[in-house]
Order: sequence, then C-alpha cells, then structure tokens
Amino acid sequence: MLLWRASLRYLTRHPAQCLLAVSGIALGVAIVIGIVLTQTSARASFGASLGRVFGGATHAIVSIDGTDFDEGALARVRQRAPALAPAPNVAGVVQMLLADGRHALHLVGVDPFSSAGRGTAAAVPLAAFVRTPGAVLLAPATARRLGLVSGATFAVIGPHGQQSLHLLALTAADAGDDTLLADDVAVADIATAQEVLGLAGRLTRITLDASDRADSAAQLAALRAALPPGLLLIDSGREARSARALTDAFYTNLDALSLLALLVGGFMIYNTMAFLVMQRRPLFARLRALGVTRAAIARLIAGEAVLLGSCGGVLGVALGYVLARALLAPVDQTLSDHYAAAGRGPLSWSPSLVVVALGLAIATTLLAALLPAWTARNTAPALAARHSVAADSAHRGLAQAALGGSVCAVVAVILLASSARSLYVGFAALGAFILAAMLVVPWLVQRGLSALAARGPWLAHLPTRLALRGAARSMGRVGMAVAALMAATATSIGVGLMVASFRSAVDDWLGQLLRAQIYLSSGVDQTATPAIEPALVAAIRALPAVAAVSRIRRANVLRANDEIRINAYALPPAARRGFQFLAGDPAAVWTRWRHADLALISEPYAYHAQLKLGDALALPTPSGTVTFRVAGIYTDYGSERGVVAISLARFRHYWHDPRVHGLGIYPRPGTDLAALARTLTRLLPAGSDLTVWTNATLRQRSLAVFDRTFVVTDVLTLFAAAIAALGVFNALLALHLERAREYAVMLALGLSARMLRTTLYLQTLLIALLAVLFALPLGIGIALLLIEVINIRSFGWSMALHLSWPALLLPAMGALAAAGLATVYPAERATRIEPAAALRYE
Amino acid sequence: MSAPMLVSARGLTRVFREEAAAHAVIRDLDLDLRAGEIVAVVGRSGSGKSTLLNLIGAMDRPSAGQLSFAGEDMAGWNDDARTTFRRARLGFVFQAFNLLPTLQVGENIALPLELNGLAVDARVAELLAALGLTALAARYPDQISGGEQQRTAIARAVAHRPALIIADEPTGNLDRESGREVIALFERSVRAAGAALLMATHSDEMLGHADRVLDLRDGRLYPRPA
Repeated sequence: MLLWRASLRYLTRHPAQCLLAVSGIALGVAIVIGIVLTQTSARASFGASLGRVFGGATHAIVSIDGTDFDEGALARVRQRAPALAPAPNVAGVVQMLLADGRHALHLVGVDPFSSAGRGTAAAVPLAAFVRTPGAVLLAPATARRLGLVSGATFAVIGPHGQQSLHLLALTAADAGDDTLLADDVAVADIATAQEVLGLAGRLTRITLDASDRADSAAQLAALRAALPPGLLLIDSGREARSARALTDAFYTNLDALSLLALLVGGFMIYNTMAFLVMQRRPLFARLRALGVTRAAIARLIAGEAVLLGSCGGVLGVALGYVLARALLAPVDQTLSDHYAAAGRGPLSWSPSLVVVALGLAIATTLLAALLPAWTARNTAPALAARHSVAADSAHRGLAQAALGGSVCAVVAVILLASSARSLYVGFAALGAFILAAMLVVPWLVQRGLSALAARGPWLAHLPTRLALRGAARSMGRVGMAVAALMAATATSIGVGLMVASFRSAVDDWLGQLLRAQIYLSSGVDQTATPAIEPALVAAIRALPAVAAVSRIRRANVLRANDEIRINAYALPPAARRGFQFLAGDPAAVWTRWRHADLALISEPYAYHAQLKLGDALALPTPSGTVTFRVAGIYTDYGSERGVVAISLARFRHYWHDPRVHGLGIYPRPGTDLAALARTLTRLLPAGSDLTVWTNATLRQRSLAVFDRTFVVTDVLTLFAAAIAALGVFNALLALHLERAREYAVMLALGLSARMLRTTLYLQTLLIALLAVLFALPLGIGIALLLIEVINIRSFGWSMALHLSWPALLLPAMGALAAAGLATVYPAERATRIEPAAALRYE
Repeated sequence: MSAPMLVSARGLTRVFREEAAAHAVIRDLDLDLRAGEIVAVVGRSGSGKSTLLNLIGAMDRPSAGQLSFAGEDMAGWNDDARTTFRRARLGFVFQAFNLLPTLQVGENIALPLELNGLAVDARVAELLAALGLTALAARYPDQISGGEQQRTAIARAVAHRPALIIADEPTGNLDRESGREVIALFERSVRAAGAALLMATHSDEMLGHADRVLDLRDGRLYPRPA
C-alpha cells in the first residue's frame, strides 16, 4: 500500500509530466475513436442510402444499362411472380434552389400501396401522400438543414425544368426513426417522382421480396427466364455488398492512417513511461535494497500505466467525439463526390465503443510500459545510483532496437514480395517499413551525434560542444521521441508527396483530357437519363462557330452483379489526343474505332478485372452479349472502379439509342467563346438541366473535388504531427528537468544564462535536424510505397512521384519549429535555476 | 604588512522559509578571509556549512547582513556580475563533485579555462599529471571511480587559478595518498598564487593544514582553539 502511495505521490508531484503523458495517450486514442466513429456513422448513413435505393428487398429488376425502362414490365412481373411482391421504384436527382446556391436532392418514388413503399410512407395519411401535388417526405435532419418546415413548398429543377414540391411531413414524426431516410433524400409517390424526374411511364427498379419463401429460388429462376430483353434480375444483397465494397479501400486508407497515428502515440507513451522509470531508478534501487521484490516494482509500473491509460482513454473518447464531428462532413463529402452516396447520419455511439477505447488506451499504455517496467524490475540495488548504468543500458537499448528495426525492414521486403495485389499486405509492409525506421533511426542519430561530438572544428565553440555531447548522451532517453517525431514528419512528407503527385497527375490528365473549349452536360446527375437528342447535336454542329463536336454516352451494365461503367465516345481527331495510352497502339485503335468491337479500358479497370491488351471482354447489351477486344489501356483518374470505353457508333448499334449525355465543343479559331456559350444556352430545350461549362470551370471543379477528398487525410496527418510534437515537448521537458542539476553546475561554474540557453537550443535543434534529415528520405520512401503499392492496390491508379518542395519542406520546417518551441519552456526554466537551490540536496 | 582582505561578512543571515515557519540557518555571522589563507569550517551535519559556502560563492543571496569580496559589496551584484565572479574569481569543489557527465575528464578540467578565455592544453596536462589523472583524460565521469571524480572536481576548481577556492568536504572520498596529493595541490594554489581556501571538512589531515579552524554552531562561527 505504501508503495502505491509513493507511486501516486510521485505522479501528483509531477503534474506536468502526467498531463503530457495523458494528453499523448488521449490524442492517440482520439484519432482511432474519431475515425471509427466517423466510419460507423458514415457507413450507417451510406447503408441507409443503399437501403433507400434498394428498398430493403431481397432482389430487384433493373435495366441492363442502369437507366430507366418501360413500366409495362411491372405488370408482366406481377403476373409472373405475384408472391414476390413486386413494387415499382423510380429514382433520380433534382436540384433544389436555395439562397446559397443549388443543392442536389435524391428523389425516390415509391408505390405507397405496395408492401415495400408502405414502410417509407407510413408516417403520413396515404390519401394526402398520393393526392397532394408534388408531395414529398424528408428526414427531419435534412429539413432542418434546408430550412424547411412541414407544409412548406419549394422549387426544384429536374430534367424538364423547374417544378414545385410540397413538404408533406417529416418521416420521423411518427416513425421515431431519424435514420429511416438518409440525408438529402426526398420520398414521393411514384407518379409525382416520374413527373418531376421526366420519367413518365418509366421505372428505374422493380423490387422483389423473396425472403421467407420456400419456393423463392424456383420463382426467381422462372422470372429470370421470362424477363424481357434489356432487363436483369439481381440480388439486392450482393448489389449492396458490391456497392459497399467500393468504399472499402477508402475506409482502409483511413484505418491505416489512424493506426499510424496510434503507433506514433504508442512510441510517445513508451517514451513517457520510460522517463517515469528512469527518473526513479535510485528510488527503485533503494526499494530493492529494502527488500521489495522485482515483481512488486513491475506491478507498480503496470499500475501506473493502467491509471494513466484510463485517464488518457476517457479524455481520448471525448476528443475522439470532437474529431469525429469535424471529420464527418469531409468524409461524407468524399463519399458523395466519388461514390454517389450522400447522407449525413448522426454520430453512432455505442457503449462497446467506449469500452474498446478504454481498452485500447490501457493496452497501448501497458504495451508501451512493458520495457520500462522490465528495466525497473531489473534495477540492481548496488548500481542504481550510478548514472553510468542508466546511460549504458539506454545505449544498449538503442542498439538492440536498431537490430529489431533491421528485422522489421526484412519483414517489410518479404511482405512486399509475398503478394502483388493484397492491400492489407501492402499496408502491413508500409507499417513494418515505418516501424523499422523508427527503431533504427535513434541509434543512427546517436552514432551521428557521437561522431560529430568526437572531433571537428565546431567543437571549439563551447555551447556547440556541450550541445553535441549532451545530445549524443541523451539519445538513450529521448530516442523514442525522436523516432516519433521522425515518423510523423516522414508520414506528413510521404502523404503530402503522394497527394501532390496525385494532384499533379490528375491536373496533367485533366489538361490532356479536356481538349474542348466548351462542354455541355447535365448539371445534376451524370448517370441520369441522357438528355441530349440527335436534333440538338445537329443544331450545334450547324453553328458556324463550331468546328467539331465530341459526344459521350454513359451506361452502366451489370455482369454477374458486377457493375461495369461504359463510356461510348464519338471523337474528332483533336479529342482523341485526350486518351493517354499506357498500352496499345493509338493509331491502330483510332483507324478501326468506329466500326470494330474494340474496347479501351481504363487503368483501374484493367487492374481490378485483371485484363490485358488483346483480352476478350464480354458485355451484356440489349442486343445480347457482345465480345469486345481490349485494344488499349489508358490513364483515367475519374473512376476508381474503372471505365470501359467503346465507340459511340458500336453503342448505338447494340443499344439502339441515339441520345447522349454530354458534348465537347471545338470552336473555330478566333471564336468569341462567351458569345458561343450564350448561343449554346439559347439552343437548349426550355427547362432543361443541361449546363454549358467552360474548359476552365470544369477543370477547376474537378480539382476542387480532388482537394476536398484529401481534407480528411490532412486532418489525420496533422493529428499525428501534433502527437509527435507533444512527444518531443514531453521528452525534452523531462530531459531538461532531469538535468536541472547539471545546468546548475554549469551556472555555478560561471556559464552565463545566454550560453546555457544557446546550448539547450542547439542541442534540441541538432536532435530535431537529424530526425528531419532522416525523415526526408523516409518520407520519400513512404510516398513511393503509397504510390507504387497502396494506390495501385486500392484503386489501380499509377502515377509518377512528383517531388513537390512544399510537401517536402513544410513538414520538415514544422518539425523543427515544434522542437524549437518545445525547448522554449525548458530552456527558460533551466536558465532561471538558482544553483544553490538545485545543488542543495547533495 | 597583512595580506589584503578577500571575503568579509558582517551580520550575515540566511533564513529558509517553509510554509509558515522560518528557519535561520546562518544567523548574524561574521567572517574575514584574507588572501593566502586556508580556513576550515567544521560543524555537525545540518549546521549550515554548505549554506555558508553557497553564500560566499555567490550561488545564494543572504537574507540580511553584508558580504563583500575584495572590498566590493556583493549585495549590489546583479546576476551577470555574480556569474562573472563565479567564472573568474571562484573555484568550487562540490561535495558530490558535480562533474558534467557529457564532458570527458580533461574537458571538465578545461571548462573554467575555456570559459575565462585562458590557455587550456598545458594547464590541463599539468593538473592531470599532478593528480594522476592523465590516463583517464578521455574518460567520461561515469566511467571513473568516486575518488577519481573527486580529484577531477578539485582540478577543475583550481584550473583557472581563482582568487577564492571553496571546497565542501574535498577529500571525503579519497584514500590517504590521494588526500595528500590534493592537500599539496591546494597549498600550492593558495600559498603561491595568493588565493584563499575556505573549506568545510572533517578530515584531521586537512584540518592540520588550515591556518584557522572555525566551528559553525547555531548559525555563527566560533574559533576552535588550536
């Protein structure tokens, strides 16, 4: 009991160190909890979005190209399989006009008389829902955000112009379930949705419920056989899983970053615990001399770790909540930008999450305290008071850590060689690589400092000599903090370089791709029903200012529940240069493009589908399955799932549909672009949601989406850097506190406060400078691994490393500044030491 | 003609306050120390010997009384002046040696020379040889024995030929032979250079070399009869 009291007194008498240790643990836990909480919430809202789209049914009938189909199919399906409760669905995107601009809203039409639709519309009287013109339901959160109250009327723009919608009720009013509808989703009667979306007589889906039926397999088989051409029967569950799998790589990347932050935090906690032990070695020696067992001392340290871990865990959970609130919006935006899955859900708390957080905090602290506890229990009573024991064992520890690091490096290489495709193995290799560097670098820094301290003209300057010697001899104590600083700096550099390389590649790609001066496309939903009729294309071509027009038609086809995105192109020669071929002969492709069943596949699609040049690619079309030959692989950063490009002529041949989604307009030289844009706008059908974009606007918008995507990454790397800075502060503060007596001697011998201050700053900057010097190559190594391994395995994108100076230098300067700042307080404190007070207890 | 006065204390008092209680360790103490003089202070543990040495060594400030060095009132010294005094005029041998662990033995001895801008090599070699430390010059303090550390600390204290040497139990950890070497070194430094040595010691051998022995009791100094 007395031992515990002594331990508690020690902790309470060193509040600054305790606070730093607890804050380090809290920051590490906060990152993991923040990410988990964000992901759970984002997944919940994404899940709700999927539920909304797929209606909670077990199966669905959709068109083969992912667009709409004639509603006559519903009658046939009901006739064939009434027991499967077929229900019609229509879904699309409209734009809501708000004071601060346009806002995309997913409009879903349901049949309130069907069992599937009844659930969603249960909150309102059926008659009002069906009869009120433009009646919709919204989730309370959406209504609040959009400033709408029940009974409000608001305007939206659909494919056929402006329409009025009436907010009949909020879904949760009676249902009591705020997550029934995801954010940004409005539910209407199917007739209302068809009218607003310009899909009169059309459906986008027929949902089926085959659960709890013994003969469902037979029913489904019969229905599948009887489906009209162009329609597919799919498994909603598999479709949902497939859609969810899309975001898996995104989440895995977030997980990896949060774990990296925890690793940095773990090193810092180790450093703190090691200090708490080092400082008390004389005490432990005396306790050992008094007969306290090794096990009792180890238990004491473990108890302290549990106490600090618990405090850090509680604080970490609170901080994690704040972080999650900050991250939810950018994560949601990314999901919305890239995966067409919007919806801001509430943060999903659960008691188990809090328990896991506390467990994580305690486990990490205990793990980090393992080695210090071992050191403490092995304290020899006779040797403890000698400084040399601590220094020697610490230096031996550095060498042993370096050896462990070398093993980690070998493991990283073996992991990389063992699997060419697994993302998890890629991350494990990255983790092993960083860990290897963290373990080896303190030893290398110590060797480097020792070499500098041994000889050289700089030793003539006393503060430099004192700083060098002090830094070299203190590496055993601050080595792990240096490792954490180095790893955090290197990670910031690595991620920054990867993002800069990615941005540079995307910018180049956009520059190459966007050859036209003006574009015409839907402003709302790029995968909606194509709105550009051949007559409009002909009218634009006929304009004297227009030299050429490129056309694009998009379609999604389903093959074995795998959605393939098809872009069908009709390209004038100028536009063809937009394709950057990674494999294949462009000249041969373009010669045969119009008439042959050739496919150009994007790099991600080639990676995911494991296709190469010359392979056959069977695509289901309304005219039956057609085999296309892979004639080229091209760079494309537009879709991580990948795209298959075929000629518009072949698309029309097989799909029998002349409409297109977008046009690229190539004006004649000397044309006034603004005037041409105005002319084009005048040509658009009344109420159309088609928008005229200039090349610059389109490029700007694409890069804005890119930048938004990496907001989350920036926040996480900043957190990791903050942890490392705190770690360095903690380590330096503890080091300087420990050395107070040494500084007192220096002052007693007549070293001026200015010289002592110079010595301390030099010492810190030397340590930080070496950490940063090692962080630069490590950062480049991390960037290369992210580019060559992680990005390819996650998304299938390749790119060249772009050595951006800001990405290299900003984290390095930040680390130096953090180390410098971390020295201000200890240095000022050291120079104010009263020598007599510090030396009194001899 | 008597040697010039180096240290003069009149009514020197040092009070330590702990919470509400005040405890005067040094109380109304008078002391005169002349150049070339060796004075030993004895007293029981806790009698205030180290406090007195710290006051005279400008590492602590008195609560009351006057203290002057070479006729100059130390009360008027700011932090820079006190630092300069410690660097140039004083050599201090601490009870726990207080060698800098990051400097080698030779470098520890060289430190005051370097701080004062004096020639280093010859003097360091001389002191290393005088104290039998030559072979240990490149070792760090934690690589040598307690006695060797003490000799290093003494060499460091006399290296820059200070006017005043203060030593707190300078031969506590030394064997008889080493003790004699240290005494010889101190005597040379004091007698030849006209410096003064004020030491706290219990060593009879050291006391035997002192010009005066003062007993510190109840915060005041009392001459001990020869």
